[in-house]
Amino acid sequence: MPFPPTSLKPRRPGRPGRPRKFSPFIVDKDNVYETVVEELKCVVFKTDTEGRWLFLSRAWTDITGYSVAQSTGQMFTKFLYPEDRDRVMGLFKPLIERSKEDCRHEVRYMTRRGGFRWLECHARLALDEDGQPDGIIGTLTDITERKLVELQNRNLILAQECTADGIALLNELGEYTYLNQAHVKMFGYESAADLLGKTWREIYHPDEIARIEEKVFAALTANGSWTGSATAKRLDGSTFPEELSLTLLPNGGLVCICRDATEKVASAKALHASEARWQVAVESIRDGVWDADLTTGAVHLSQGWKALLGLSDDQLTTTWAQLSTLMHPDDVKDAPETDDPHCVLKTGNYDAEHRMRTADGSYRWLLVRGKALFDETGKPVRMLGTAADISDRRQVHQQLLANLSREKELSEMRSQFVSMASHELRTPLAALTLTLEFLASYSTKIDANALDKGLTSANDSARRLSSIVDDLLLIDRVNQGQLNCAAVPVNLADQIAMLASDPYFTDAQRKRFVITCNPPGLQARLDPRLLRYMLLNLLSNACKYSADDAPVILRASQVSGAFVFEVEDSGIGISEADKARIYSLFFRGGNVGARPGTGLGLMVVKRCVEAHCGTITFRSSTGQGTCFTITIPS
Amino acid sequence: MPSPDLSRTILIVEDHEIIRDQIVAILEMNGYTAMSATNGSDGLQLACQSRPSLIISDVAMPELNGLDMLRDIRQTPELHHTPVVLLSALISKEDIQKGLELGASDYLLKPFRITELLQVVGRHLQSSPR
Repeated sequence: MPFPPTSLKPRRPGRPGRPRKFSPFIVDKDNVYETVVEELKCVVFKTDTEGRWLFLSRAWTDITGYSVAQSTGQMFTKFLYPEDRDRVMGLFKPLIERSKEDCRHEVRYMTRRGGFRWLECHARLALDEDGQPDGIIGTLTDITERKLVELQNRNLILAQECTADGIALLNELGEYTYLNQAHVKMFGYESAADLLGKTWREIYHPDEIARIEEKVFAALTANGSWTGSATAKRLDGSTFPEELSLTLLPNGGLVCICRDATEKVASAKALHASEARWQVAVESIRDGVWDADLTTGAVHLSQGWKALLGLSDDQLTTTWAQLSTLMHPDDVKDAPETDDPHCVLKTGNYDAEHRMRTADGSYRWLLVRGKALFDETGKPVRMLGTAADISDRRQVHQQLLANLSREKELSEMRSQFVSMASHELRTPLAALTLTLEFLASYSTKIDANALDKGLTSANDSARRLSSIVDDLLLIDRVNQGQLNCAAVPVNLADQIAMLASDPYFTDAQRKRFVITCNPPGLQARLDPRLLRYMLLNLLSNACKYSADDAPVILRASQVSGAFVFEVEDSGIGISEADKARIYSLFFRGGNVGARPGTGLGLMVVKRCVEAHCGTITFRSSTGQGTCFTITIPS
Repeated sequence: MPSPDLSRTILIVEDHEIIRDQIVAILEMNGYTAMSATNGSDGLQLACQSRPSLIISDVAMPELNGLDMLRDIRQTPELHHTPVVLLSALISKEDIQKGLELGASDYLLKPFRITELLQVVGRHLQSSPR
């Protein structure tokens, strides 16, 4: 009976792929064949001599999705994957020509869903009873899964060949069984064949071989894998650094993945050298360098800060907040906010001068500069900068400002002095010249009394001029720092007696003086010229600012070794508002009225007292009088 | 020397006794009627009472200084047109400018000569729109 039996009827419908059990009632041989064929996973087929399906077993439907009934009578080529048709026809040709008895090939058949399945076709020519070709019979076995694995393997190998990393497989003897092209080229070989069968020792120098065997293999054995670096050897004997990853296989073999690390090592060396130069630069300059992480507030300070502020090593790693506590309270407002440094970093630059506290509690002026680094969203995330000690510069700057201010003040004072001196001189000068011109012009028209009055006025004006000139000269010497105290032993009683008879005073004034010197023969060491000036001014003021007949008291005494001079009057007094200013240049009290004066005298008196290292004080009540007290240490 | 106009009276306001007395004496020698005050306050009061033809006033004086007195005079209707000559030892441009801006008719600097005084007096008495 021909196989497969032509009388076979289309199989009973059933669920595809579901195994069926043998029925105990099947007893005849055809039924046994049918059952066996139908249960096979592979397709059993027969075509006619034209190539039309005459028989297909049930597996056809399981594999392609096409029903047997629909397929039967169709040309088998119709079901072939188009790209495979010509090839398959060529494969069947020797069979049809009876030059071969059978053929075996792999071919894609289309599925009903539009895809394809890989089938292995094993076919032979079917002959009729006369030995004439009756068609083709054979089997179609689904090998799709195997073909996919093969494809994946091919892709995997392709990927291995394309990667820049070197990949190699070694057997348990350490011999290469596979090397990808990158591995071959990395070591300077032309072909994998140059290394296949050879051991890994071929590509390392003896010293490196010893190290690998001793250390790397120990770790590999212990951990099953090892990753590290090694020095590899090319075919020409030259060496290069490689990154190496080794993994033990269950069969004792090894997977080796390696990479040429020449550029990486060179980059690392260059980076290290660059960082080393930067570090040397940072540590060699006197300035402090700071590096702030604005996202965390962490700040790293260079060694230079130890010299700047006397910080310890521990303090070099700090936070923005801690660093801010060292800042002078008056300068904090100028510094970046500790909570939100971003607000002052809109420009990305920080440049400020402020004081920071050193370890000994003193403050140093620092010029702090910084530049922010931004992330891709424009947010400042890091800030680097320097801090330089500018205390000396600030001190010089402050001194210059003070000098400028003093110079300006002196200039204004000089200008004011010249202006006031001019004014004070011009008034008595006007009186003098007017009087003299009057006497000269009208001498024939005036009587003796008018002449006498004129001459007295001229004399008073001249004396007044002289006094003002004396004051001005003395003030000039004070301003020049030339008011020296030439102290000599003097008898105070004699000095005061001379003063009382000084032509500076009028007879009327002299009559008002009440002078006491206790003890009478009191000896002192003073500058007589300055003493005269001091007492003359105070007595003159006392006369001027009190009633014409009121007494003016001068007391000289020695108290606790110091010489004390008191000049007291019962005059107009000094108002509370004026008391703080009476020693100022050109200052005159608000209650002096038309009494002549320059506002120079008390200032000069004070300078004369200070030249003796003494003090001057006063007590005064408006309308009741004033008492000045000069105390000069012995 | 200009011819004196005896019908006119001159007020001298000056705190310096000698200068004040000398000006008064000079003016009287030249036929003027002179009266005097020692400060601006008294001067203003006397001016209101006497309606002088000319006022000669010092600037730096106690009580009321010459500039303040001048300001008050220019604000007093009956004295508004009275010429006022300031007499001062304050000789800076600023001081002179200040006096002229307040309405001073002239500014005589100390020290001055008798002829200068009399020329100024003559000039302002002749031009006074009394």
